[in-house]
Amino acid sequence: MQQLPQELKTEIFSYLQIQDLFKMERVCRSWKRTLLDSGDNSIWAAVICQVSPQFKLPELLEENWRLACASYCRAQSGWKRFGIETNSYIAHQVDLFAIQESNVQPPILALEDTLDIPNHSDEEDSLSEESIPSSETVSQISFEERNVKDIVMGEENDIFEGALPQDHKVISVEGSYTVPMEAENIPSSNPILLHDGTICISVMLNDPNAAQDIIFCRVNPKSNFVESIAVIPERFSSMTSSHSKWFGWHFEDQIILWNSSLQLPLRTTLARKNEGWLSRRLFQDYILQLDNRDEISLWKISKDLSTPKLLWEVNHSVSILSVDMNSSLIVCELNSDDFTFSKFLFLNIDTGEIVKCLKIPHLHRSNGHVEFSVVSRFHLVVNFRVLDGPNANYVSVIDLHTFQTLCTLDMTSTHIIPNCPVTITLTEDELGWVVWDNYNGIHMLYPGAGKVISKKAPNKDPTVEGVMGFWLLFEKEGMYDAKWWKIPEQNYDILRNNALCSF
Amino acid sequence: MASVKLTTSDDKEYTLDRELIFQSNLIKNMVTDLDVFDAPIPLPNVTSSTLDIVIKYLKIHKDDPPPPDKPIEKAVDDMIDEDKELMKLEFNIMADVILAANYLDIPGLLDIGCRTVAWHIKQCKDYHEIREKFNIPKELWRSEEEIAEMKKELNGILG
Repeated sequence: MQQLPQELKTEIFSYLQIQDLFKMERVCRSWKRTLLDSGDNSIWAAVICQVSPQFKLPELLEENWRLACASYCRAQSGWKRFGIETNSYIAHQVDLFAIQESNVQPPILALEDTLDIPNHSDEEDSLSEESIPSSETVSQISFEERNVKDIVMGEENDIFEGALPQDHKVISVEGSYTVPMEAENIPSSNPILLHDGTICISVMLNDPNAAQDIIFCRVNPKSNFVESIAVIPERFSSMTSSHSKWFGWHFEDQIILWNSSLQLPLRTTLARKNEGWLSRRLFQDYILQLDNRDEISLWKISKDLSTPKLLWEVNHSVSILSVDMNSSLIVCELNSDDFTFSKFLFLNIDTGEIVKCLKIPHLHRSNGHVEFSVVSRFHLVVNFRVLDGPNANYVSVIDLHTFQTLCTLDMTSTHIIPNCPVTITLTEDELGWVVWDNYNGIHMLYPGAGKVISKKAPNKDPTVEGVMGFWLLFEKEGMYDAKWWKIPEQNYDILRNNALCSF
Repeated sequence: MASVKLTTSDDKEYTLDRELIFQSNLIKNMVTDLDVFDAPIPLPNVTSSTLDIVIKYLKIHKDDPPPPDKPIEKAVDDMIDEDKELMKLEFNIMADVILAANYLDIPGLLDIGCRTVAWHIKQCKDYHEIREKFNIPKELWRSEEEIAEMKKELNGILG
């Protein structure tokens, strides 16, 4: 095969079907390059005709297709995987999970007419009785249960260290079995495992004049090697929030979205009127933008991946520190001179109007660190960490219907490592939260079931740089169990030795 | 009947009927455009053993109608029994035949050669077997040049 020139290999490949190409591309580099460089229409025709119509691929065909590594396509028989060209491996079949949207939408609560946002002094605002949804609302969520083995193992089972228990089931409603990691919560030296299986690494390029760039790689479990698939310049910072459909980075008016389905970074622009500091968050198809004059705007990412469309912009004359959102609410952490409280403002996602202002008296903001995360349609999780003076580390869960604090977990006794923060995410059933830090392990909160379960993580060497793995949550006979699944360490070495750059 | 002389890379001379060898577009063009009926045409890229197989193919298909301008889509194993028998070759020999078909511009032979290789690939259950069958060394990593090229591509796209 080596003696055949590229055009003849392409000729041979053109007789293959997609599944054969996928097998072929793993054979060796030169074959991959053949596919990369061929531009053979017959190969592409085979791919394109089966791509979901929601993806428009003309851009790919022109120049970006060289970067396209794999695509999940929804064929009539279900989700199928097609290797568009080289390097295609997706470790975690996120899209294989049926996304079953609940019909239950939490109502937008009525704004109290007298609410004085900046100077509000009550600890928690009272709400009218009729605006509070019943607790039964939550229980109406229906789950789709699928066998873990069918979903997770597949042909990529050797990515996992150890076998999955045969009799366990994973419950998926939205998202995936992979606990999504907050990109900005992970030390930059650690690889981040995106929930589409892409590994995101910040590296210092070998070139001393080069900036620290973000490299995307993918581990191929069959061949145990890591392929670099994209690079984003260092100046771009993450804007991804939990449960985002996209992974995104921004710099000034430029946006780069990592499209998990296409395995492709896509660049677009987002207009901003004011210069200076701003933040952006991604949630599903939305980009929330906060500019340096506290003007909030919501943009929708269109399916054709063109410039996001402005839905609304508001300015409530409050100083906002950071923002997060779910499908109904936008949560803004307000700046305050009173360090005994953290203030949160809740906005209607459809209009930008204020729904609620909430104060949480947990933390002296001046010497602490607040992280909050809207982990579902129903819950806000706030983590307060005091970094100076006596250790204090709390996690509070706030019900987004009633705005009541459901529970507070004292994690002060846990060892706090700088740059190794607590990470919080929703469990697969959306009824609880998995809270963990990279050192101490996992704590599971089930306030809805009246349970708070804490579990220690498997022993992990805190000195190991870049632990790559993910949590799986299992349900068996009404009991929940979480397991840490780790990418085999030999892949780290290969990653270190063979990624585009050393780190 | 007019004939055409060919000389292979191992200096073996063949005299073939014009109708038969004109299935090769290369030879046909050389003969008709350059008027080289009498002088042997050197085939520096084709050995005698490879040409023997090519000639077998030409004989099988000498009465075939001219191939259509646009190739017809066929299944990978959609070929006549004689061709299947002809293509029962070691891969290295088959690769030589494909190269010869490409050089001599014999679309039909190139087609069945490529389809036969594709068929063999399809029979392999994984890429390990493909490597073994086609004696392909493991080339896992990009060269420095490839990395530089890829960076250039990425920078062009991402700015």
